[in-house]
Amino acid sequence: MFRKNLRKLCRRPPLRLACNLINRIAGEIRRHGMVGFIVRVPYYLRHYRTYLVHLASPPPAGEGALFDGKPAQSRNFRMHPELASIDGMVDAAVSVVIPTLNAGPEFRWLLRKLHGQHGFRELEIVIVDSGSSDGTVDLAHTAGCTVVEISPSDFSHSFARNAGGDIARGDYVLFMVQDAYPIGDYWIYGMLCYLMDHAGERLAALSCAEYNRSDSDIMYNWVINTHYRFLGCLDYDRIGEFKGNDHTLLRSYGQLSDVACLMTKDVFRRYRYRGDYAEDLDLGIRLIKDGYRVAMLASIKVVHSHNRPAYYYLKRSFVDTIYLAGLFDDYAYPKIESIPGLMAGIVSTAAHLSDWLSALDEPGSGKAKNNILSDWIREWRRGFVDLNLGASSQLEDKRFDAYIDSLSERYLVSGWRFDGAARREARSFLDAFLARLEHFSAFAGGIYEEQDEVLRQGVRGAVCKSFAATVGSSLGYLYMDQAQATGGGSDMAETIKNELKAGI
Amino acid sequence: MRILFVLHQFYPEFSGGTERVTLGLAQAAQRAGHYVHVITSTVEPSNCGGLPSTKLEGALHTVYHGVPVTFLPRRMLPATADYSFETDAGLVGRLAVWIGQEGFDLAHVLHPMRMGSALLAIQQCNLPYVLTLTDFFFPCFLINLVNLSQKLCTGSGNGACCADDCLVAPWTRESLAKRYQQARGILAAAGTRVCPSEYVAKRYREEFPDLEVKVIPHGIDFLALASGGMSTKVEAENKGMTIGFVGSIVQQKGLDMLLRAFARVSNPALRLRVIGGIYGSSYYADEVRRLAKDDKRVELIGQLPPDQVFKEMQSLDLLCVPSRVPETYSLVLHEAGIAGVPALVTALGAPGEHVARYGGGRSLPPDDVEAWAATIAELAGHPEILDGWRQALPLPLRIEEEAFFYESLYKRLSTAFAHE
Repeated sequence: MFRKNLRKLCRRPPLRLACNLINRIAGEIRRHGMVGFIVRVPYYLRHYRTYLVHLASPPPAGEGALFDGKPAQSRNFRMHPELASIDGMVDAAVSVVIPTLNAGPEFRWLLRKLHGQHGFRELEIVIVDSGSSDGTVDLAHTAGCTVVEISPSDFSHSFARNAGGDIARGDYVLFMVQDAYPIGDYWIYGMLCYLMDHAGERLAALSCAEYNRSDSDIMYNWVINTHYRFLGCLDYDRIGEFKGNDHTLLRSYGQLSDVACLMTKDVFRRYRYRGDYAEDLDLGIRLIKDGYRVAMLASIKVVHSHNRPAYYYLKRSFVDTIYLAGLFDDYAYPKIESIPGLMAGIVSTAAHLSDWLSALDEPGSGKAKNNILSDWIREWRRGFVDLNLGASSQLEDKRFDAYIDSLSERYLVSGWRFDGAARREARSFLDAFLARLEHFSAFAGGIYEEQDEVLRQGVRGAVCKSFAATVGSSLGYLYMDQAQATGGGSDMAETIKNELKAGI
Repeated sequence: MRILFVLHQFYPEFSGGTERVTLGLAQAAQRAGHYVHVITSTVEPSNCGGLPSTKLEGALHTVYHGVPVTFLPRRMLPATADYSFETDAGLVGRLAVWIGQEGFDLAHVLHPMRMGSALLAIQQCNLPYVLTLTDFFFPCFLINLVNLSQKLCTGSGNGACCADDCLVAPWTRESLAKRYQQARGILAAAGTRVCPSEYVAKRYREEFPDLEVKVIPHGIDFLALASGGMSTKVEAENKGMTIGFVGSIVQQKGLDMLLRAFARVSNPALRLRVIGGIYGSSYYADEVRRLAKDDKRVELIGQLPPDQVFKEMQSLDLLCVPSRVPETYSLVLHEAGIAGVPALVTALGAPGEHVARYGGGRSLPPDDVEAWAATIAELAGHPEILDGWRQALPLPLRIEEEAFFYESLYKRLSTAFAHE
């Protein structure tokens, strides 16, 4: 009774404070000892306001059943084995084949990660090196890899992979690239299980989608997001099979990726890689045309991404365009009505963008809503129509700028007329660029709200790189046009092709 | 997906481990194409860099490194929010409206301290959530499962043991029991519960045996660390051993014990480099400075940005993690693993279990100056031991791996996905 009354008394604010103070002092002495408590008194006094609030408070309110929500239902779909379950060892030997050239300091991480893979019987790592000078070969030897050295002049993506696959001893061959990084210690196990689980459905090969590195730029984030949406493997595993010769169907259902591509040794032996570009797409299409299936996995991914300069996007876009147009008869591309018009559109847009970039750094152009990109696009649709051919390109990539300036010097020769066709062609180029940018804006708008300086840098880079990609595609259409018209390609078209294909 | 991250404090005001993990996961989610938003509290609103929010009355808003952040000023929260799950009904209502308007698909809760109102609003909105159990705040209002007598807690006993061992104002026995129930309620309603280490998972399984927990270690941003340069170890000019302490200079981390142990090893070729900022008790800071000043071999470097920390770490022969409390993870231990630096750790918590399981160092009794001194002396005399430990260092999880695992868990719960 006495205790009950005492407790009631202590609930009154002044007495509560006193009771709490005594209680708290006792607690601090228990915690730190008497000496520890005494030396801390100055600290307590300095923070008396905080302590006073706590001491004057009644006990925390709220009933025990305050948080009695019901857990959400989890959807049942395939996950990485480290999140789901690991059902014993897979009795398989896997050979990982990696073409290398100056793989860099991160390569040791990849080798350590591969050696740390669990869940299957045996691992072999086969390195096919084409002339590294940074110690890659020594590192590979030290890590116990089988090393094949080829001359740089022999290298192609197919040759190197076939060379590695030919000497691989494993039951399965996993082709990777030197800057990819497995996710989890059961990464290979997870892909093996998937391949085996679907073997009865004639699944012959699979790849896993990329998960961007922590340093990937927004341009790459957008490109890869768009690519995997097209393939249907952004969020779910996709098994593709032959559905017709339409190029869109072949590409979306037949795509494999040599960033990480697993198949049986038998499938590799029978099909091998061929060609010097998109050898993984070529392999996938051959497999599905022969009645097999290929998979792109979203449940298991590999860390990989690249930050490339605008010049790369120019070249890559050009090569992609002429490759796809050359591979698929039904790959439609726009006709170029006026070569001077196209060049004028490119050079003028570059000049306008250069002005925009320099204005972006001016004071007061700090934070902005992300939809400012939409506003810019609207302005540019009006403003960029006005030709601006006097200024050089200043888009922060020297090689790209030099190339744009060279287009002006070589192809906008004196005496050319900006006639109706040229005007339409220039406008067509601008529309293509702005359409690409609108797509990027929709992607970025779904992710970011306000732009801070970090985001602004990414957006400016993406604008320039999108422009470069548009130039590359347009020059690709020009090349295809010329090749068709002249039966073999004009001098101009061949020159552009030689310039832009080099190194890709 | 539209993902809401919930934790007790954030950049730029605070930059601890949970804040780093959250920022890393949020930015990874953005790179993967998701919208993210952090909701947190601010202790000193003038330090958070936020402007008044136009969407949530009383809150502040900013964008930090591309990540939108909404701050709830401390004054808006219940007085006991630093150690309880107490809510404010008005704030819960406003948060529920805000959550609905923002259209989040799920929440990821990384620390519930001060965020009781947000958690209740999340439940009221039927928003699925993932819980990362970064420490023991759920079962323990003192956070570390170390009771007032400085002994390791053997279990909360549904709150009853808390009342026996840690009854301190303003708690009462009854309110502690309710706190335990509330903790259980939040845990049980989570779509997934994730612990950063087996140690934490084990303790949570002991406390809440009917609740399943997964283990996903915190990921390390290899690329950010290595951006300062990756090097092979350079022989020190004096051919001695360089030991390092990396972390906040607070009493729980045990630097004072390490300094005392180091002082007992009279080897002039030894060096001790201390990297980290001073927080909390100025009494403790003074003690550390005094101990360091007495030994010319000790260098207090202060706080450094992460990439410079890694660069410094690569010059160490040995890292020391002399924590007095059971750490739930230890980012610095795993970063040292990438740098190729073995470690001495206390035989407490996740670091002790990590070293015991994988090697790469040795675990020692906490607060045992003699044991630490003897081991340092042994290693100074036999550096080949360190070589053996280096070979055994495991590769930690990368931030990208952690983020991918969480993204997979989000997809299982998110309202944005209808079916497989």
